[in-house]
Amino acid sequence: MIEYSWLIPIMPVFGFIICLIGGYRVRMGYGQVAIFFMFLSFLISLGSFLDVLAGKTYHASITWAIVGGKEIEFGVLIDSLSGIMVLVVSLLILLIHIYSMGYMVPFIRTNQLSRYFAEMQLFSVGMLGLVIADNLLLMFMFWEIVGLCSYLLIGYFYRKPEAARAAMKAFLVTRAGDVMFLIGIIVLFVYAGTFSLTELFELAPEMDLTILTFAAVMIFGGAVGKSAQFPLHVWLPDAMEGPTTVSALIHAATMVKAGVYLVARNYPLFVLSPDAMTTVAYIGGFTALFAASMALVMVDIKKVIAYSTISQLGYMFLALGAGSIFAGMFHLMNHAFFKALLFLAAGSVINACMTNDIREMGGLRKVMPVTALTMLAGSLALSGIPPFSGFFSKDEVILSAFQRGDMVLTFFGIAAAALTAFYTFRVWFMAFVGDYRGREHPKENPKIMTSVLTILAIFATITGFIKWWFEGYMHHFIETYPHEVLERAEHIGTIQPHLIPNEGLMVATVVIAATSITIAYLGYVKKVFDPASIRNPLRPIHAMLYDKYYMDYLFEEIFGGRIGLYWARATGWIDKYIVDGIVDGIGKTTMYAGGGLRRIQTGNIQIYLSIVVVGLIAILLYFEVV
Amino acid sequence: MILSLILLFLLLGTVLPWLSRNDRAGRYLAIFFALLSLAASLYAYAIFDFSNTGFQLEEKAEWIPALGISYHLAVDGLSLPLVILTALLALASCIYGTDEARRDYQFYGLLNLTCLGTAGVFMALDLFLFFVFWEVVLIPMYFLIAIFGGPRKTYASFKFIVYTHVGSVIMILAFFVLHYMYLEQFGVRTFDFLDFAKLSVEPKIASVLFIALVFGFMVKIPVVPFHTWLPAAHVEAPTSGSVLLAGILLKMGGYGLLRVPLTFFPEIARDFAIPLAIIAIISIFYGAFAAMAQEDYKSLIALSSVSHMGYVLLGAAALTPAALTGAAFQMFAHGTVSPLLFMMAGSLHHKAGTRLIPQLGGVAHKMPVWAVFMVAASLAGLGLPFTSSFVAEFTVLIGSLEAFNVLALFVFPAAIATAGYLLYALRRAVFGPFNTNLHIHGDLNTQEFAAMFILLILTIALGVYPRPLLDMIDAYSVYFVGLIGGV
Repeated sequence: MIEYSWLIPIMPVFGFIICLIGGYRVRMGYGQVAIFFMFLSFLISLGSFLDVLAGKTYHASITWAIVGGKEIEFGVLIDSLSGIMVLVVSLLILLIHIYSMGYMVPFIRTNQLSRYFAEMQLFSVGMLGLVIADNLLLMFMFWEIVGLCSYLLIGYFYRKPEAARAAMKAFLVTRAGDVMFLIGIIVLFVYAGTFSLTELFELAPEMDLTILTFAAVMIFGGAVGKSAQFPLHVWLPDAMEGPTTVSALIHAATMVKAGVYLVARNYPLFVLSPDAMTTVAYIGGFTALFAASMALVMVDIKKVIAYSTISQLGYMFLALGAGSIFAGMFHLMNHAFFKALLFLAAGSVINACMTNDIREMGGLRKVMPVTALTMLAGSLALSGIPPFSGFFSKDEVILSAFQRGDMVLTFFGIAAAALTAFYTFRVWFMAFVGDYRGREHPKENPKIMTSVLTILAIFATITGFIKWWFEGYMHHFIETYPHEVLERAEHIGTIQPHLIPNEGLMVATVVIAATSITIAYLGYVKKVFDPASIRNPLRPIHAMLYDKYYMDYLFEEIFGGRIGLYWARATGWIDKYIVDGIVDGIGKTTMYAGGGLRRIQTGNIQIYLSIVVVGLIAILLYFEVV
Repeated sequence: MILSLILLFLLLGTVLPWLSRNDRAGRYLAIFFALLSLAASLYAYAIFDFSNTGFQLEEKAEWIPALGISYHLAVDGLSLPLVILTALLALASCIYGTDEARRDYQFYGLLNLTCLGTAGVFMALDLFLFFVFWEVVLIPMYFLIAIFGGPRKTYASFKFIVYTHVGSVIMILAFFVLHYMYLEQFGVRTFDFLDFAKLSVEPKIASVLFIALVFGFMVKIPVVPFHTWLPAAHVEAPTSGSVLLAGILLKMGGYGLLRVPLTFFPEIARDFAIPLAIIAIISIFYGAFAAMAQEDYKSLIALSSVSHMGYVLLGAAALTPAALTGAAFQMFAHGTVSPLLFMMAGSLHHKAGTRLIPQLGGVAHKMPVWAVFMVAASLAGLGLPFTSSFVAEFTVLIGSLEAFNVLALFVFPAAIATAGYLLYALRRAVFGPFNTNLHIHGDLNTQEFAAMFILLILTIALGVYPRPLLDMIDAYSVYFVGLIGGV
């Protein structure tokens, strides 16, 4: 089936076109069309993955353009990395499409559902294309398509000014990253003459290290934007204005992972440059802790999960930077399932309570047992409690930092784990335990939603156990890198092919996470202490966290408002009154001068002729002299 | 003969509507002949030999033998795409124009006459003929603005004609100097492009001529600070006039720049590469920021043209094969995207009675189809991949990085500013709660839809697979840079 893998992103193109064209005629029924085409994509992905397991790889391309005499080839590359990624992505897209059939029903009256499914299908095209692209330029192009769909879907409820604003913010902030990404790939093209991944990997060891490092860091800049890493993370929490299914699919499970995947895909370039690897690890590690701290104080259930996503993405970069592609990809996949689960469960809660505010929830365990249980599984996975999937992968991430011998990174990892367990269970306890504090009459959601939750909960519980198999799988994948790349990377120590289990570290992280959960339990369930009483003495810190370290202010007011708009207004003023003023001034002066010259316009033909002759002589003389 | 045929069809599309003296018949005649000229230009594309990098489909007849002036037409990989674009926009603007109720038969004739002049500019190999066509364009465009324009049409049309004429005069002076120099060196009178290319000019005079020519074309492109005629003309012009103004009139400047001074004085162009690149970068950013400050959607799009056409100048300055390809492709890409945006603004004005962004808001509720096109057009404008503008811009960026190294890195952030002004306008005008003070009369009608659909599909198709045009352009660029001894 692997030779048909190029069809994977083509299938949703049909769904997109059907939903788009039909969108203004019929209101319902497009979900089934979208699900049908996604299901075909999923089947092909599954077939391709089975072929990959059988040891096959697939690479085919066509000439897309000729630029400056150089051919640009576009094609499909299915190897161990893209094979498993495309399977996970298409499965998640399919599941969330199904869940949407239940979740989006209340919005049919006000917003056409076909638009939702058209945009979701277009997103699927971009995301699946990005995963199987064999080429940096093609990756970038799909990268922008998913960014576009993110923009459109965040702004899905476009009547709300906040949604329109959040959509624009998301697009512009990630575009800052995209610009760096584009710089990176164009620099590589100018110096290496190709966009093709496999060719670049072959050429990389011969490239000048400064240029390679620059290009790698720039490509990572793109990942920082898309995966919402510090300092470009500000768009993701605002992106929660979109429907919760969109948050689950795009802003947790797939698109924000594209950055991690980008680094993993270009790993042979990164491992040749110690500086690039350190940048990746430190940005990731810092973001993991930084975002977790903000998640502590948010009261909007989706915002907590959003900051948690930023933090967990930081873990993945931390692992990649520390030299373990296995730990990074393993955490990526586990996180994709349990974070999608958390978002969908949150969506289920929001649907029932009609609010995002966890202060207006409580006691939902009794009325929404499936949601409560599945979200508990997701929360345990996120907190890293065995045997849930997050435990295995988070452990590997921290281990990779520890084994690299970098105590700062290890500290980032462990401290973030402690915070993660606390804020995760703060939400779970506030929503599901105690008494209901809202004004609605919450009840469990339809089967179509809870069954998807159940499937995802099963994944969140068991996927950790593939660890031993997956370690070998990824190790085998690394062996396929060009020989020179591997040799150089092992020589400079940027890559850690084997992680040696460390029981002490493992026990320590579990104990820390369990302690955090206990503290949350004592504070929010047993009320042994009042969380508010702690908040009061720490008010300045709480305010700083609640205001997101003033980073949003910096981006919106300073970059957007002061620099962007004021600068634009200044340019507009200069344009109108100075540049155009001078033009009109010259025009008026000429008119006045013309008024003066009118006096020599006597109508006397002899005078005209003599002026012409004098002028002609002057010109001819000039050229004789020259 | 096919090139003359294209011109003939456009001429018939001009004259017959005028002779018909009937609004309805005039409209259909104009559409019919624009369609024929498009068919003829596509036929020219079909018989174009991709493996031949020189001029093709040549036609030559004596016109004023005493001065060595001839009727000499030909196309190559640089000009043929622009000829096709001209015929396409003639058709699109005539179709779109059907919506504008008070337009009469003269209006459609003027549209085709503008296209006739422009197509002539792209085909002419005799520089005197080139100049004649160049001037022919000004007259119908002047009347389109002055007769069918908005409230300040007199000011705008006068500014347009005077300003661009200053550029033309300086250009024709340079042509005459070349003519006399040729006479001096070879003893023959000629205005032929191919003859002038053989001239050897001493560097000092060459620099003066280069600057004169570049100035003439820069006014037309337009490049900051010579751009202020453009927003004024656009704001007052009728929609179809704006379509042609943005779509093909600006391309005359870009085409002239790539064709004339770069061929005659490549060494001088290399000397001036850095200053020209800096002017281009200033144009790109200045246009983007000035656009962000605009309240009128049309002047926003007009200033965005200044920004986008800056890439053409940048590509010309870099003078590597990739850069030239990008510049030429950008002309085609901008030639479809910008007219599309102007049509969107025109329909908005028609339906909502205003184009001022602060007076709009939530238009998407009442005009959903319009909104889909508007979002798509804006995204094409900001150079999203899978639209032709992306192909053009990234090719220019490759070329300028090859030529200028670090300097080129300053261009990239323009992508953020471009996205900024387009999305900021969308957010205020199209999205958000519906502004209840607005009275909106219906969504797009069939003619509007048809005209927009043609342009949008072309933009996306060339973004998905650019080779049908890119191959011929790139072959030209590689050949040309080899010819002038580059890289």
